[in-house]
Amino acid sequence: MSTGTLEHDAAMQPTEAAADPARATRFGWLRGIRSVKVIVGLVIVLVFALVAIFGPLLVSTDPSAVSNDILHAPSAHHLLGTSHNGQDIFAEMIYGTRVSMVVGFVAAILATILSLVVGLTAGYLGGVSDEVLSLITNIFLVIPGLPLVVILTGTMPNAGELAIVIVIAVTAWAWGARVLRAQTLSLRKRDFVEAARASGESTFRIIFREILPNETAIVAATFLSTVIGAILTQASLAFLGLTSVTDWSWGVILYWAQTQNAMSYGAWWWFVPPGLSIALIGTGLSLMNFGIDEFINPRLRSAGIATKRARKRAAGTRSRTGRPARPVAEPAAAGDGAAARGDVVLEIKDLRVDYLSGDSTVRAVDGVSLSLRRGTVLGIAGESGSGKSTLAYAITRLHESAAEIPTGQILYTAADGKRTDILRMSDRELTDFRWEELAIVFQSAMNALNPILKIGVQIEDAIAAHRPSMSERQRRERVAELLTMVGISTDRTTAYPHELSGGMRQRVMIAIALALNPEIIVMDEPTTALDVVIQRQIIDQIMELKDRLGFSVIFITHDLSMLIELADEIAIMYAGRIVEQASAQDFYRAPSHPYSRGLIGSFPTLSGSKRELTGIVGSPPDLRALPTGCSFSPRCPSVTDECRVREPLLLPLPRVGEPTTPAVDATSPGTRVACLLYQNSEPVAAAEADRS
Amino acid sequence: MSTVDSTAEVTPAPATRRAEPVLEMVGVTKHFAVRRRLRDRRRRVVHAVENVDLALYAGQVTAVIGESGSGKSTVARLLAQLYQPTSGEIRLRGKAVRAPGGRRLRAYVGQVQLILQDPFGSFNPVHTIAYHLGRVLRIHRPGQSSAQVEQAMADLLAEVRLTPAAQFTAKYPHELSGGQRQRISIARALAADPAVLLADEPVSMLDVSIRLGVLNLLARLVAERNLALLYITHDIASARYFADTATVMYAGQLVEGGPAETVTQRAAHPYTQLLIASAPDPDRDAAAPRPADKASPPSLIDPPAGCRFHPRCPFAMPKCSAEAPPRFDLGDGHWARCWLHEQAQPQQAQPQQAHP
Amino acid sequence: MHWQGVRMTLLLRRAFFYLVTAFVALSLNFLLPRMIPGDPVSRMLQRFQGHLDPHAVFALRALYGQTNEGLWSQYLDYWSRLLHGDFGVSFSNYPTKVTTIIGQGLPWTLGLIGACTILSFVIGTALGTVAGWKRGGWVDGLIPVTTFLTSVPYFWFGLIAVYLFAVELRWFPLAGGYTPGIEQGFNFAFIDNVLEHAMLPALTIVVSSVGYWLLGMRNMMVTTLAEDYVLLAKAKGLSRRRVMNTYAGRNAVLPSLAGFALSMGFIVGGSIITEVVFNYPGIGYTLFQAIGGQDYPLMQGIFFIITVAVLGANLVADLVYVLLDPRTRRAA
Repeated sequence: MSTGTLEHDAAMQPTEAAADPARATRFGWLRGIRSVKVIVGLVIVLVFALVAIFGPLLVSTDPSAVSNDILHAPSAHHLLGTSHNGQDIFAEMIYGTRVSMVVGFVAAILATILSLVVGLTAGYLGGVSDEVLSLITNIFLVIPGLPLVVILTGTMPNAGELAIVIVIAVTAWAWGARVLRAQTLSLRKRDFVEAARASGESTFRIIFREILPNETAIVAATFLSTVIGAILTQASLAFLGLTSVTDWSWGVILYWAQTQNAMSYGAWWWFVPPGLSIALIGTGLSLMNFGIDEFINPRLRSAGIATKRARKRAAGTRSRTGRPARPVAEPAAAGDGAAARGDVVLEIKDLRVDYLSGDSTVRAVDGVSLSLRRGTVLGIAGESGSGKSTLAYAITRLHESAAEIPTGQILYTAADGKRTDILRMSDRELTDFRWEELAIVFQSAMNALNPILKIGVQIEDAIAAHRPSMSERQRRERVAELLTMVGISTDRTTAYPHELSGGMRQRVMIAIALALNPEIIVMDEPTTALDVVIQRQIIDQIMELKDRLGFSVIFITHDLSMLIELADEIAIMYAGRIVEQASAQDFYRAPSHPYSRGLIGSFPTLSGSKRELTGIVGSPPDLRALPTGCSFSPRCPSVTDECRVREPLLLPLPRVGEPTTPAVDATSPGTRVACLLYQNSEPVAAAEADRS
Repeated sequence: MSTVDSTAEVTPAPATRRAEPVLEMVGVTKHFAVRRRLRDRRRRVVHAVENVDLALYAGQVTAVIGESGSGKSTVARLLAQLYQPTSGEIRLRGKAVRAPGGRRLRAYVGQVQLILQDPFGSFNPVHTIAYHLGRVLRIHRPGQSSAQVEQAMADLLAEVRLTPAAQFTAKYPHELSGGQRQRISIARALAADPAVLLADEPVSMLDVSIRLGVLNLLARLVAERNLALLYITHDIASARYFADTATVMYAGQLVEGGPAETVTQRAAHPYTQLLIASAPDPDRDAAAPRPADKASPPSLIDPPAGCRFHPRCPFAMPKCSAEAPPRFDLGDGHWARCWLHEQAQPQQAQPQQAHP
Repeated sequence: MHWQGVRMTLLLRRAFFYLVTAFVALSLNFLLPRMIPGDPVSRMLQRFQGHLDPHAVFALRALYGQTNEGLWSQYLDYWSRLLHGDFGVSFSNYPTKVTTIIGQGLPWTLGLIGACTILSFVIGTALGTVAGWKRGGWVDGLIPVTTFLTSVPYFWFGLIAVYLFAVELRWFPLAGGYTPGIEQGFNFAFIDNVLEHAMLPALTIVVSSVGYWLLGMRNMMVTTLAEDYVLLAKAKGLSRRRVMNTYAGRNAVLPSLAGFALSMGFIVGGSIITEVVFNYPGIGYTLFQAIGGQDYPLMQGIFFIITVAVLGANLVADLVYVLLDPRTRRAA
């Protein structure tokens, strides 16, 4: 019902975006195999499987045959030496592999089937059956499994392998059932299951065709870890002498090694190979599982290629410039154009942000120049993938490690006239600067507040970090003051985020942003997740505080009609570029860019007479495959042939009968627009010159 | 590839109100059980939907406007028979239907189809578009050959302006854009050849520039196929443009209803007025008074007595907290549940409140 | 007051769940010997070849349900004996009471395995926090090694440790909980002797279980670091330590803690077998001897005590969870 997830800038998380398709297609999970870990794991497990199947056929020595070669070290005759009564340990190992593998896999198959039945039933049916099955599952989870198995097999003297398999399966299914129940429960609530029900699918088909295929990866992961567990359990039982001690398995070999004091004789060849084999196959299976885990949650990869590349590039840039990372602080000298710049508090110059994913680079923000005047609201509007959120994060330098900023300047002018480039600050300076001068309010307050800390502490944290000299009492007073400022009663200081409503949480976010009285607050869709009435309350609060405290705001949203109401200046982003910048009133009265006109024409209005809604054809562009020329050209109603080849520059809008002014400065007032409708070929050179 | 429909007017011509409703909910209440705590003696319920009457007419768009938690999505799911009402009736062409599952549900959903909000979540990521469409076709038009199914799919995709069909059927959901997926959602609903579409916030998760195209598509289908459409939304301005009839829902109850233009331009209920005053609107006079509301919707486990809006209402009277207001008829099909309109005739005869 | 009440409710519910679990586990303990096909008692009596005391024979028959009483009255009798702390008499150490034998072994096991389990959780979680914080850092590089170590059976790792450090290098004593014949008591020499004997088993348990916690914590940490609240904490300019511990770590440890409770049974089981390798005089070694001697009353008694200990530890873990996560106080 809320539009909270509406605005995911498509380029924000390229790793996830890249992994998603893989997850989605039916055989997409096979791509996980490309990972080195999975291949190594698979090879290990395959080797053991082959030994288990064919080994005993190829080994002629009877593992139980006694000989006079007592406790011989490995030799050509006895590859792994001999035991206390001359049995060939290599033969024992080969036969043992078969028993251990068979017990492990069969027990795991049984356990997995059991977990599937219990997990799917409990998760899908819910209600009483869920409660009963969950209770049973939890009981089996909490009962100490291995001691139970030990005692179970202990009460069945000389239990056969089948009995062992069943006992292991019975004690090993619960974990998988728990995981699968949770997964089924969450899938059952997904819209596609509801859609299938609403289209009349049967329960059977919903479970087996809609839900189960989405659980493949988890079932595989559960199965593999159950195999590890079963092999370990079997080995433990055999080691304790609870299985038949004449049926060779790895555990039985260890049993004999232990009871015959192999360690004291230093007969390492006797007890090393079985344990090593268990550890190896366990490692192999775990490696395969890592592959699956990383496939389910791509973030788990040690360090993504993109991250590495970004790091490398960042290092390269630093060494190339060879400059100590020091802010370029210059006094507002005369002749610097400072006077013309007037009350500009933040100036963005030709900013670019690239996302590195795999081998490709996606430019999410492309040559953006903007300026924010002190005490005003600069609104940035755009659709998903327009780069507006990326811009917000870049301004605060909170962009992900996969993003890098190849060019650009973000100049901050402090109240005393000192100018600093945020992009050139060292980490240290950035930490001091951020929040002191420039704070940010995130889209989702629920996600941005630490769920386990009281809200008062989360506000106080920011103060404590920047004002170490402040006493605790002063900090407390400040927290109370801030909460009152945003309309929260001070007795909620000790409340946890989950105890507050959505609107209250967003108010807390604003209080955190205001903690150090910053000059600028960047707001990234601060009200998108909220209902209209609450949204209105929050916006009114922000505007009232802005007038009272005099900070400046960069307000990012997809909601153009709201932006027109509250912003002084508006910039429209499309495919990473600014296509139009104007004062809010000029923009609303006379949008210049065809995209702007389309946007204005897409909004139904509440007051006044109904007007015709025109809308825009087509879909927002894919940043990975932008059209040549103007990015908007495929959707533009006024498109010409030239638009498809020439990229328009952001230039001041010529007044009627006036030629375009070549002096381009982001700080100069007036409408600027990037559209060839208003440009002839001449000013390009001039603009290029200005850029460099 | 998605296009703005130029063939349809944004507002379909209002059909005559005399006709029988295709789908109706009469006095429907839905309570959800809350898990009991150890020391709770009494059983607690969420009063999600309380005594709602709603009628959908062929060839007409009926909007239900509300905030999150108002119960508007529950209304759609009750009408889709995904939930069974605690009390009251769902009537399809005048006949009460209860289809909790099995064959009866299949037959019912052949008539009434649901379109969900989230174009990303409403498709199973492991299946192709052809699978999704094909399943509905096979369920609701049994006995067709593969070639017939294929042809039907192509027709459906053409109807939602996705051509050529082959470009879409073999794709997985993630390979399509949000707007395309929402069009396929609509095609999937049409596959059953229903008489009623229930659209639960069909465009709220789409980008602004493509919303209009999807809404126009729905409007065209209503006109061409004479469908009854329930349009659930939180965006009151879109209801003004897109719906014939608008109803406003607050805390599980319908508080106001009537022709969309009347409800949005001459709102009678204080809650509707609050919604309108809160909605962003660049055309509004900047000097207009702002709502002073600081509260939020009530708990539905323990809703306020009387009118559920009275704790927030600037016009609250003693009566409001004591007695739930009935529907007061304001003329031309416009009504409101608010004691402020007591002078108007109550629609249902209620002796003690009926003023001459 | 209110939320404290709610917190108590939650813990009471958990305690109730553990009571149910104990009830089920101990009922299984009662039922399973009775479900074995054939006549296990006669087979066993043959093996003891008449060395068994008539009382023991009677107890054995009772264990397998071969009495004249009905199942229900046997069951009631079983519970009544359990609740009176009467686990009968050990076969292999006849006529010592089972409770006496368990009482001797329990302190050793609690000391060794209790301490080691907590130690490995703490070390693993701490390392996992760092590994997740600096993905691709040196701690992260440990993961393949710890994975291998996690896959190693505890008892085998114990064998190797004994071979390397006791037999070859002679750094530690070969086996036992203390040197036989040494005067037992609360004095420095004895405690030193005990610690020296505990080093090797402790090392085995910690090294082979630490990887489990490390990996779990590392993965949760990675997931948590992507949360907005961590980004906001960094943006606010908080110290690295505060972001890592209070914002990321404390949230990431919660699932690990829940896992700690659930994996306790498994880990304790593995550790108990470790005792066998070292002939450590704890419950595990006693269990091993009981199995060798087919001492069923002792086995049942040990299972009882392990179950109670694991469930108790679970309850403590739940308590810590509730203390760390304010959301649980809303009695979900």
